[in-house]
Amino acid sequence: MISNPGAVGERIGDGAVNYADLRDDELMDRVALQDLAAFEAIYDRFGDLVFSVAMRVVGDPSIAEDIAQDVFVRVWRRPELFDVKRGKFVTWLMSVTRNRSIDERRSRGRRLRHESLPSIDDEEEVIPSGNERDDPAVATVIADDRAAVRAAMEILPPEQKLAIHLAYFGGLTQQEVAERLGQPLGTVKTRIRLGMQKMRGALEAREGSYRGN
Amino acid sequence: MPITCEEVRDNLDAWAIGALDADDTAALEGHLPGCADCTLAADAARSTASALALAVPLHAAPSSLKTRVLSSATAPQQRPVSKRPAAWRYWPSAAAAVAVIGVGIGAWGVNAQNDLNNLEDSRAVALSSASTAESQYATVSTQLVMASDANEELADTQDAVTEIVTQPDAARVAMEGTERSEESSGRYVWSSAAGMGSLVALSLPPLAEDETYCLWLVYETDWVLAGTFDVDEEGTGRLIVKDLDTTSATVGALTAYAVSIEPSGDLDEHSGEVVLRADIP
Repeated sequence: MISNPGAVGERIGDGAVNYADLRDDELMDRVALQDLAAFEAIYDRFGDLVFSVAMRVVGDPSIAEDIAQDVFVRVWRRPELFDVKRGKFVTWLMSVTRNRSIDERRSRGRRLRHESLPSIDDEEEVIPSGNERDDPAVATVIADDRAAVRAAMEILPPEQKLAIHLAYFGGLTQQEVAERLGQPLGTVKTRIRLGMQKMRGALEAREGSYRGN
Repeated sequence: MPITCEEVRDNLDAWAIGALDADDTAALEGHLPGCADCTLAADAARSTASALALAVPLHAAPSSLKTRVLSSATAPQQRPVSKRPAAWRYWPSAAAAVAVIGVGIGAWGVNAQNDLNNLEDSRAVALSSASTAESQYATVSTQLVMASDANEELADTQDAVTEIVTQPDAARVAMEGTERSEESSGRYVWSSAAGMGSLVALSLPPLAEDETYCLWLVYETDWVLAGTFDVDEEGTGRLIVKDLDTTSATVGALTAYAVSIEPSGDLDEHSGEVVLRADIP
């Protein structure tokens, strides 16, 4: 028998746990302990979003599915890579997804069926999503966040929006964006910097309500 | 040549959306660790960049994706083959067993082909080869059983963790790497009600063949061994501690948790280097 250490350390138990009520970082604490139910809740919350970001970058559902699978497996196997002190979980997850998608896009090159750069035009939403079905409260908050970002992007002049879009979703450097648009490099740098500053200002002006904070 | 904070700030947004070229990226990322202000600005820029992803039109992921994700995530990873008895461990290396099976089957197949060639030359050799093949078949069969057992134990471990973290008295401590392994970290969570504890240790150094990791409960007058475990290729180790006794010990108050590297075999007392530790205030 091993003597029980007693009530020291940080309490985490709260009786019956409803995973859908937990914040993202709380779920990740449990994922770090290999709690599969917490991982499933993370998937339910972000599965559609991760898949959609991958789709935006690679444009192929089959490849996007593979990317999403890789991203979530990474979340499960390397949860320590998310550092709550560095920001929100969704921020980290989107960064991982985007980077993984860009890597895939670059590695496949011309073999990608979706050879053109991701479209800047808004597509129609194809939801109801899994998280809306399974977790309406959280889905509402995420939907609010998404609406705020989309609204923030709407205030950008088209040329700024396009430069940012080509870099972020197309994986192009500023130089490559300049070549593609036939614009001087300095102009592209300015467009990206001003566009991102406007985005940041618009998002900071909005009070954060997302409980993943 | 080092870049200034002003130059970094000018480039942060482009860096955050991946639009800087390799040289500028290297220069910027080389500046960040030594500059707290720029690091804060970088986090803000990265946050804004990631928000761009939230604006994508939502597509419903295929329903099969969730099944794939859950299956892949919980599939055994490839790990080094353990050479220790499994008596203490509650998280055996399923992938190791699977990997061994793969190697075993492959080796068996190659040897079997060689054996067939030998059969044409000599009946004696054939008999010998048949004996070898039988032996290898027996090994493969054993390893298949190991894989099956390992999968069952993985499922058991999931149940154990769920049981711990859903208890009202569940508590945890964060463990930090010592000077021996500063990059290591860990978490130990336990529940008196469940009578179990769970350790997840990350970025631990690899072990020599005759070594094992030990989790100790450090009391005022003694170190009590809670269990031993291996690590995978990424230095991740897991341990479920069972049979926690809720009665008070005769070894004084608990002062710390520690993970050390010890020689394999009978472990009566702590003697090895501590790589992870959490002191109890």
